[in-house]
Amino acid sequence: MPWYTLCGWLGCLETDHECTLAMPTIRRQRMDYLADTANVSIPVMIDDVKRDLESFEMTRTRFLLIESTEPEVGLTAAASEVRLPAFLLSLSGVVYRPSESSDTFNSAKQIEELHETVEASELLEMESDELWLPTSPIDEVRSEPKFGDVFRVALPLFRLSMSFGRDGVTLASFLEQANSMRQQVTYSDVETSAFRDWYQQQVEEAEVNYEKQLGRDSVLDWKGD
Amino acid sequence: MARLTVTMIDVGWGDCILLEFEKDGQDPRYALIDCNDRPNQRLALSFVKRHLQTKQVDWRNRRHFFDFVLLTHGHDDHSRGLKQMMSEFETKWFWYPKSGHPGLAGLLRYANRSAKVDAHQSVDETKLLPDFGDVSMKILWPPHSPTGPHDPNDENNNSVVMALTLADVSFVLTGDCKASNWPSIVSKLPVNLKVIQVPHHAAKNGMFDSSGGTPWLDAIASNVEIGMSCHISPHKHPHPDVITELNSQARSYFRTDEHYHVSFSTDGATVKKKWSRV
Repeated sequence: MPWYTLCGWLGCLETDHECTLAMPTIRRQRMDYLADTANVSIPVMIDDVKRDLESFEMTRTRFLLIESTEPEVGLTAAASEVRLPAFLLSLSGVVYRPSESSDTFNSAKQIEELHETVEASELLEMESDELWLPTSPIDEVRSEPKFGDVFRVALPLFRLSMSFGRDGVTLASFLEQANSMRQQVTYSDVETSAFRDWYQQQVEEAEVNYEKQLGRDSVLDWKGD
Repeated sequence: MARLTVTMIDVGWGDCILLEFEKDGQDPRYALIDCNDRPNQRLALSFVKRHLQTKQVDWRNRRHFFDFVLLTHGHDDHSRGLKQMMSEFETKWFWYPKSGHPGLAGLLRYANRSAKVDAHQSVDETKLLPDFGDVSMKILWPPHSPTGPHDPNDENNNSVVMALTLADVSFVLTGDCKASNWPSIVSKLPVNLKVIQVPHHAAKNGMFDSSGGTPWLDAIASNVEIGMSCHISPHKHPHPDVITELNSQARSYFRTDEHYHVSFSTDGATVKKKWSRV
C-alpha cells in the first residue's frame, strides 16, 4: 500500500491475500509499523512561506491523503498483533510513495496513476491536508523555497507537526522539538518537477476543455464584447 | 421581495463564504466562495447542510445546486474541502484566478473530469459574470494577464476581489488580496458599498501597505460594515494593529473568532447583520 495510515489502522495482519478494498490488484501486506517508522518519509508541497509575521517564521505545506468515509468490512483494525472485532468506518491514509515499486514520485505519470487507482475503487478519494513546518530547516536545504517545492519529511517530525496542527502541542514546544529534528527535512528535486509537471497537465487539459466550450453558454463573455 | 445573504462561516482560520439569494415565488439560489474544511473536520460542509435542512431546501434533487463556486486563490486555507463541496452539491460554474500554484492541480483535475462541475474557467476583471438571481456580480481584481498568473510569485496577489450588488446595496469580498494592490482597486469600488470583507483575514499586509497606508479603508465610507474571517491560531489573525486601526476610526466590525458565523443580508435598501455568538 502506498500510504501510511494516520488514524490508528496498522494494516492487515494477514500477509498474503488479495486486498478487499476494491483494489484487487494491489496486494495488501502487513506493515511492520515500528520497523518502518525510521524509514518512512512523506512528500509535502509548499503552499505558503510566511515571512512577514512577527515571531511566526513558518511554512504551510500540504500532503496527499487517501480517504474513505464509507464503512468497509475489508478494512480492519489491529493492535498488538490481535485483530480487533470491528471494521473501520473511515480511513485517512497519508501517501508516502507512489506504489510498492517506487519510493519517490519520479514523474507526473506516477501521480496520475495513483489518482486513477484510488478513484477506481469508488470507496476512496484523493484529498490533501496541511502540515506546518518551521521555515528554518527548509531554508537550510533549499535557497529561496517557493510554493510548489516538494520536501520529504521524516515520520517523527511529520507526527510532531500533525500534533501541532491539531493543537496537541504549543507553538513554543513545537519549535523547540522541531529544532532538534531539523535534519528530517530534505528537498526532493525530482518530486518537485513531477508535481509541477502534473499541475501543468491539469492546466493544459483545462485549456483544451475551454477551447471546446467556446461559443457555448459555458464560457464567460469578455467585457466590451 | 429579493434578499441577498452573505454568510462568513466560522471555519477557524481560512475562508468559507455562503451566498444565498431568495425571492418570493422562486427557489432560493446558492453559491460558495472558498472552503477550509480539513478531511476529518468538515465544519463548512456540515454548516451548509444544516442550513439547507433548516430552510427545507433539498439540494439532492437539484443538479448543479450551486450557481457557482469561486476559489479566490490557490492557498490551502481557501481551497481545501472545495472538491468535497462540489462533489456533494454540484455546481454550474467553478471559477478561479490564473495561478501558478501547483496546489490547484487536484481541483483542476476534478473539474476537468467530473460531471458535477458543469463548466469551469479562470476569471479576472475582464470577465463578465452572469447574474446571481437579481444580484449583479463584478470582478474588481486581478487584472487580465494573457500569459499566466498576474503575480507568479505571490499567490495572495492573484486573489479574486468580487463586488455583489442588489439594487442600491453592494458587498465586496476580497480573498487575501494584499493592501499593496488596493490603490489599483479602490477606484472600481461600487459607490453604494455597504459591506466589505477585511482582506487576508485581517493580517497586517491585508490592511497596511509598505508605507503604513490603509488604501481600502481610506476609500470606504465610515458607515460601511466590515467582516473578517480570522482566528488566533495558527497565523495570529487578526493582527493587533488592524484591530487598533479599526477601533481608532470607530469602525463597526464583525469577526468569526468572536462572533462565529457572521451574516450580512440586504433587500437592496438596508443591511442586516446576524451572528451566532450568544
